[in-house]
Amino acid sequence: MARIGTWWQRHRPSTRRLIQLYTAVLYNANLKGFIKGDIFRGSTKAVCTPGLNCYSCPGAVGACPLGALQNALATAKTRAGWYALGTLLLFGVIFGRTICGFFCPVGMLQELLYKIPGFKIRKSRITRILSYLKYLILILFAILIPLWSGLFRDVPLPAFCKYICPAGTLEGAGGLLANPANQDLYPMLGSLFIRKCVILLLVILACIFCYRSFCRFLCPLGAIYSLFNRVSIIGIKVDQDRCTHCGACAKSCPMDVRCAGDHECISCGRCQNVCSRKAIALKCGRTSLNGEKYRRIGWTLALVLLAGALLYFNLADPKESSTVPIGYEAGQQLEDFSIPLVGEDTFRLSEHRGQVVFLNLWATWCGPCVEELDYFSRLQTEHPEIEVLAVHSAFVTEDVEEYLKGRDWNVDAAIDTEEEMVFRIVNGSTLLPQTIVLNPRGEVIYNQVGSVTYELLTELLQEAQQS
Amino acid sequence: MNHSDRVRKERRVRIWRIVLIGAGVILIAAGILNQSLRDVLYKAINICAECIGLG
Repeated sequence: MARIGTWWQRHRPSTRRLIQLYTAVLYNANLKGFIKGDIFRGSTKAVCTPGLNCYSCPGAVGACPLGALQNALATAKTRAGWYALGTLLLFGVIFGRTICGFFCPVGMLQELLYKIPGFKIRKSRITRILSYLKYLILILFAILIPLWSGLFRDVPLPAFCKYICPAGTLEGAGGLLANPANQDLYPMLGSLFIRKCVILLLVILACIFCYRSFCRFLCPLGAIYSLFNRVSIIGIKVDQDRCTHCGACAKSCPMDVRCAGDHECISCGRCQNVCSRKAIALKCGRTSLNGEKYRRIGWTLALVLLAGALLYFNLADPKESSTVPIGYEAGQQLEDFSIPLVGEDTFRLSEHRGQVVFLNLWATWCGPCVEELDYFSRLQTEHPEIEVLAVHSAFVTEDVEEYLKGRDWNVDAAIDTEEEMVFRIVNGSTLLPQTIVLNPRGEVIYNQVGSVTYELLTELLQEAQQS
Repeated sequence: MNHSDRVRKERRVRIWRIVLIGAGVILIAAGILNQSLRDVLYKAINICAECIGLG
């Protein structure tokens, strides 16, 4: 018993760890999403969380601020993303990198990985130089590429999410693929998935050997918040009247700080204990946050909020867009529907009996959708006997008609109704793009989420014609 | 840095905070008005398969 007591004394979680755990659960309060294997689609998803948390995670109840920023930049041509910019600005000036230290689930995971015993790489001049890499990644992958792609290619490309983000692979892709209900996603896994898994694996390994490697060297969100560290309301503050500039704070800190509270400081508070002059404190404005005064009431309010969130997202069944699974699977007859086309005509499915019909679910804000529509257009041009209908998601962020005018696509296009009629009939996923192929009898022979190649489309056409 | 310099620096920081918070609030309000809040929602409730590395 005494041994257990000693172990607990040594391993008991710190207040910071409890806050990190609390935040991770709060950000991902939609626990039933993990059971259902689908993401939450309620209105709270418009609110950005302060920390890095993929919004494609089945549990996520808020939006990732970094994903929101990239998409805002990618669609800057049609609408300025003031909301994402304002949110980041507000988070930065209130919390600075305290968010990294306290409110980031990815930060917590990195710290837990570092607890695995073994060889450790200490901070050095090299790690300090590497710590500037995240600014390069921020500028290149989170700002310039999405902006360039949106402005000059008309294809939204959140480059950091697509090429680097390990949180997206772990929480988003991992969270969805771990559920057997999403077995239909397995065939679409290819080289991109392998690349992202390799990056995730490398980040995990790096975090085992080197403290918070992703946070220190790669994370663009940390880079953004670091710009506000000097002016943030909450954070580690140094009393300059007491400080002797002995450097003990920087020496004890596992991050690449030069002094407590600088741009690399995540306000973990470790340096407070080594400062012999008691010059360092975690503060909100001028008030120290180290006291016991508000701790009990703070935790009580926080736990009430968490309990409320868990009840709301898991039991109260908040309003979500629903899909009705009627006859959308391979071998089933697709329900007839009629929808106005962009332009003048109307598309009625039953009028195309005897033809192979390709339905493509897309959106202007979905990069892969826009890219693959070239293949559909080519298919329609080379096979005028078939029908290709591109149905834009009901979630319209720009003038689709105007958008289509700028494209040379030879396909019929429609925008789904507000009630998402077409998406409901074909079991349109929250994942885009999605392709549905009907044989001449109107039977579904293919209904898959994910990008397609031209070769796949021609194979599907052959299959549809022969079935 | 003497005491009065520090006081002046702290005052500057406070002014910056107020300006930045004000700017943040204005940007968020502008975002709600120009519907970029709705864009964030739409993006968050739909999954771009390629963006999370699925392919």
